[in-house]
Amino acid sequence: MTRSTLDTKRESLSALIDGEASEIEVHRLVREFRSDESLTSSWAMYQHIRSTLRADSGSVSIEHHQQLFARITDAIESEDSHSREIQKSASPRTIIAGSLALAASLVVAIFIGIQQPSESQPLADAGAQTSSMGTVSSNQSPVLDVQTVANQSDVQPRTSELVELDEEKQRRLRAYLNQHDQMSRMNPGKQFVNYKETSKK
Amino acid sequence: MNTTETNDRQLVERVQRGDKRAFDILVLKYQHRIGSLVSRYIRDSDEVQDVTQEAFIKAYRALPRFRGDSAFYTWLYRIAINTAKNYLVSKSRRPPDTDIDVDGEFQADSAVLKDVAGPESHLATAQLQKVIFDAIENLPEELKVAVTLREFEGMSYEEIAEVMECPVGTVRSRIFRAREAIEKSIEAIG
Repeated sequence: MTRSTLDTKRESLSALIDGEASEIEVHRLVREFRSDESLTSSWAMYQHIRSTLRADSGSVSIEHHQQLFARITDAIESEDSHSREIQKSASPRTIIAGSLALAASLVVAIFIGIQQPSESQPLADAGAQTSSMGTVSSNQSPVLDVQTVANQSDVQPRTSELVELDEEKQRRLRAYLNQHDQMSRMNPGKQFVNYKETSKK
Repeated sequence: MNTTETNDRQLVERVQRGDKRAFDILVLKYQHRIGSLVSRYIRDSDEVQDVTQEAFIKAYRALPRFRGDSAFYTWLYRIAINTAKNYLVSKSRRPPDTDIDVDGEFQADSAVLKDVAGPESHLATAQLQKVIFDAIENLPEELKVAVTLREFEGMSYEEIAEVMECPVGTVRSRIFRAREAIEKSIEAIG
């Protein structure tokens, strides 16, 4: 490294310690800080000069300054690698399984929410709804049940209830659909549920 | 927003965008002040280092949520004070009733650290101070004025440029050259 390049860097550092460095200089210093130890020691020296002049802490040596810096950055580095390990341990399979579990519980929660009669409804009304639900084939899936019931003209109160689903449920549903959509785009052509395996069991 | 805050803001934004190296500079910039602040709550120097480190780690973790409503240092300062207080409580020691004012922090620094430092350290500090003051005294006039206005008066480069009737770039260069000269004097005494 030429003397002038080094001086330019150190001048940028001197400006940075005063909070006067330009954005380009900050960018360059950030990039080179770890690879160039002389920058760290120059900084420690400038800081030391300032501290001594202001008499705010003459007892802190340059070595102490560098040691503390190394200690903090090492701790942050290990913090980062720890986070990366946690992220690695959460495999895509686990994430997909988790998403499916969340989706299933959401569907069940929404379905139960629709099924439960409101407290203000008369019992007779609730009984009529039970009988109308009884007309739906029992071997259909819960999701199909909801669609079938919603389409029937004799269960208008249930349709209006569906519209009145509170915002929280709608928000969750939208979040799930978005998540599902993202997953599908990330894994084009892949099924999230292996139907063959399920049927073997 | 002053220039220091602007630089800090740039560094904070970099960290928030995923450039972790920018946090190194924030650590280097403020570790001394945070260490001094913590030492006003905790006397033992090893414990001071532990708590300082802990404060920076907490700040690092919380940085994605930092919105910039206050200056970075003010935010960091609050984290450090809370970390120090929590540390004292965890050690069944009573934290002080009143907080240290962020603006008055430097004035109080010297008193506390003088209590902690031993006579040898005092001697070394006094010796170092003499070397630095002598070095400043021997600087060419324009360097001496620039560095004095910056370090003692705390003026910005722009203010110094007005006082010295020269471009800001010249001020910047003069301050740098002054620091280089002082550094050489310090290195000469080993």
